[in-house]
Amino acid sequence: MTKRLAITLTMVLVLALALVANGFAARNPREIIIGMAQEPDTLNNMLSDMSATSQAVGGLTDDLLERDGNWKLFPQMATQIPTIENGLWKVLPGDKMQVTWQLKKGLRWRDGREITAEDFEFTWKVIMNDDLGVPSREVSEMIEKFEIKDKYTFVLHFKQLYHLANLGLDYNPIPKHIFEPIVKSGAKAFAEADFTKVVFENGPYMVKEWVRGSHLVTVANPRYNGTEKAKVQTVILRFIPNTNTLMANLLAGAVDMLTPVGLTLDQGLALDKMIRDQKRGTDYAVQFTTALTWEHIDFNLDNPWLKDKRVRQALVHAIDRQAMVDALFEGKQFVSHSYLPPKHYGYNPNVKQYEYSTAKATELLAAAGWKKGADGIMENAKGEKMVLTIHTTAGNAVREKVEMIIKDQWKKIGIELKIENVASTVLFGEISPKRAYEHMTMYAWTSPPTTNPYGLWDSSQIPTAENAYAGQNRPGWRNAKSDELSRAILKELDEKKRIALFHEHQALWSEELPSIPLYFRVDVSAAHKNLQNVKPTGNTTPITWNVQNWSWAN
Amino acid sequence: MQRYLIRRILQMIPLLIGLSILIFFIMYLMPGDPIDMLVMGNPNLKAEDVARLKKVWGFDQPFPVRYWKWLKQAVQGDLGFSYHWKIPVTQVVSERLPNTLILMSASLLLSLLIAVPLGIYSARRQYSFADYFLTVLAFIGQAMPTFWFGLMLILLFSIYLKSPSGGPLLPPGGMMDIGSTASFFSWARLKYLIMPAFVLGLHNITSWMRFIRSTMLEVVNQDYIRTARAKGLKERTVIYKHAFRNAMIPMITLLAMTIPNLVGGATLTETVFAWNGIGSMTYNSVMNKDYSVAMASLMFSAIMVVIGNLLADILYAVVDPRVRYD
Repeated sequence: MTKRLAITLTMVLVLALALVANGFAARNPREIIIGMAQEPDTLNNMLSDMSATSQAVGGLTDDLLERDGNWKLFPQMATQIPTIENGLWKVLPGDKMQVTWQLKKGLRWRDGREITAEDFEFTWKVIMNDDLGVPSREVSEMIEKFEIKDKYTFVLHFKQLYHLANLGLDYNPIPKHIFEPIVKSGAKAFAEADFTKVVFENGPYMVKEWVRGSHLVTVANPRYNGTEKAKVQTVILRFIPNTNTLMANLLAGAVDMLTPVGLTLDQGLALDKMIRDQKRGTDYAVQFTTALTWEHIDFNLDNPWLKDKRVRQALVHAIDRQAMVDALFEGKQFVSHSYLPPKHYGYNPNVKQYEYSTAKATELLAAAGWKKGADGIMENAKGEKMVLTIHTTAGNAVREKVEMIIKDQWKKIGIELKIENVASTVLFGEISPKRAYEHMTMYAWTSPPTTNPYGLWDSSQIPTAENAYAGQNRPGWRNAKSDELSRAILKELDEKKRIALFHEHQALWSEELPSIPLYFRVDVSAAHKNLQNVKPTGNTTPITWNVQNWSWAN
Repeated sequence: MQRYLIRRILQMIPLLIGLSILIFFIMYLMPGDPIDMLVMGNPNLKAEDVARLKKVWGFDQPFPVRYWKWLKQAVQGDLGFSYHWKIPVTQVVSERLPNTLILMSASLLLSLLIAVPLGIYSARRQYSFADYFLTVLAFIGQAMPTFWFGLMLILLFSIYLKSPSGGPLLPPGGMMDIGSTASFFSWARLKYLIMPAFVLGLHNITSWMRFIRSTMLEVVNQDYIRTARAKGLKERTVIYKHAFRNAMIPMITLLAMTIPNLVGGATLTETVFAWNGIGSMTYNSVMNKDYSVAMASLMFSAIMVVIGNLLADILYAVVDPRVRYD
């Protein structure tokens, strides 16, 4: 009995001791700890497609241009943005173009070597080297000649017209003096290059230590003389795969901020509420940033029922999308009427909008030859019942809720929805890209701010076995006018005219509805209240784009 | 015994080769390779790019060619190159194996230290209040979902309870302070180990406690225990020297079965506590289609299961003179 008493007493003592002290430990003003749910696979961003990588590399590398929190471009390594007006971007006869880049003088790699035009030429060659497996070369392969004018000036000779020719190469530069010998010894050496040791940094921070599965430590780069020097000496990325644990780390004060790579909307809403109610986490603020991630439902337009535009319009009329986003996201995410978000430069606010109306839906279905049968389900002249199948990523709670809402609402107009969800690897590896679905799939596209309709909606981009399923026009939309517009956009260098084309394309799209536009997602991030200048972008530009300006108040 | 051992070890070779073909084939059947996943996130990739990338990484090869290439390298000790991490698989595994060994041994030790005394205590005071209480606890422990339990502990010890210095009492996940060079047996390191080791050990603690209780009960009713008591031996000697030793024989099977876990890691616990071990690595490698890493870790587990079984069979012969192999 005495023993038991002793144990109990010790436990009480420990608890009391723990409860006596409260408040967080004083923050180290020379350090910022970022919590992330994902870890970069590699710091070689030429070989990675993870947002975790671009976030990690954001503070380590500079590029010719960068985008700020309002998606506006500014020159980072270049002296200015080449435009037709300033004469650095020239259109030549035969639909060829020349874009001239001028580098700021005195920019340095982490090891002190000056950055010159030769580094950019080398980078372009690496991108175009078939053996090295650099995925994206959209811009680089349009360049037929790379001309070095002098140490700080180079000219890109484009063999065709391209509306985004003044954004630089596909990737930020890598140092020639370091990577030339590596590339010479082969693709394996390039893939295996240890980016925790090899020099690749030309940004405000550089790698100090990477313990895989735990953390990445970056420190201010003393040789950096680009835009602005880092204000905080050390920035640490902590990798915590479980988002609940991640949030616990924030509440416990073990991390200073959480980025869009790791905080779900539900958690963001919960945290926001906790802070508003003064319950917990009052040292933090949550930011919701409209993102370029577009949730939608693709139709299969080869399906005889869905080929009819009126059926597609009826299906959208029959969903109360506004009530849906209000209920699910507390109004933080909003209904989309087309595929471009309001922050996109080509966004058209005046497209056709499909308000919730069962009457209109029934009317449109009747016009298309669908009437309610004896069992209350829509029937066509052939006696076919309208039972539609939808696939999405199993286990994604939000998408599953959306499905349930749609199922319920369509039932009211006599349409039955069959939900057949699959693992995301199956949906994105097989069903969606190979168009192996009968009626519908629900998922999201995340695009860069430069996105244009060609890849998603041009009829040449319909995935088939012949093109190895590489296109992204998965609904299979074939529309001559859409093709004409999307191709014209690629070649229209005058931004005003290009915007007009964008507007026209969105208007056409919302009339034709190859997909059901649902809503735009928001990026959720949370940061300590004293942490200044954190500006999430909501697009593919990582939150770390201006990490050198982050600082602690007081 | 020697001939028996040689026979068993030789039998392992075709078994493991068969297993490797099976595992490789199942992974091959999974839809989509990493390049297909890449296309999903990058609307700019064209058919030519896909073909070029598949060739660079060897995903264009048919199953037998890929398997043969893997097998040839694997028997030479080269486990291949991780597509995801862009480093050799041996490096991926060797970075995580020590972490897993630390966590698993700590949890095993903790489980034994708690389960054995409680199991014996329960058996000796059968039907007492303490026995009923422990039984209820055992069932709660068995039914407790690891994931939820881990999060609740984090909530309690990292958010609600504070250390005297003001930080959380126990760190909410991770393995050590960033940049820390503290030795393994210091509080700076051990504080990270407490919660994951306990969460991981909970199921072992509760099931072993019940197991020891029942085997002990079986043994203490045997004639030789009555004889030992009749000889006038001290109760302590009777329980620990005569009863407990015999009760431990079936425990060997249980312990041998935990050996594969010892190196296999525990995906859920590792994920909740951001413990960088083999379990989460295996799970992620399958999700990322990182074939070579998945292959290495699944084969490693397979080998450990086979070795664990062999070890259990040998130990029977060692502790129980009635068991003989020829």
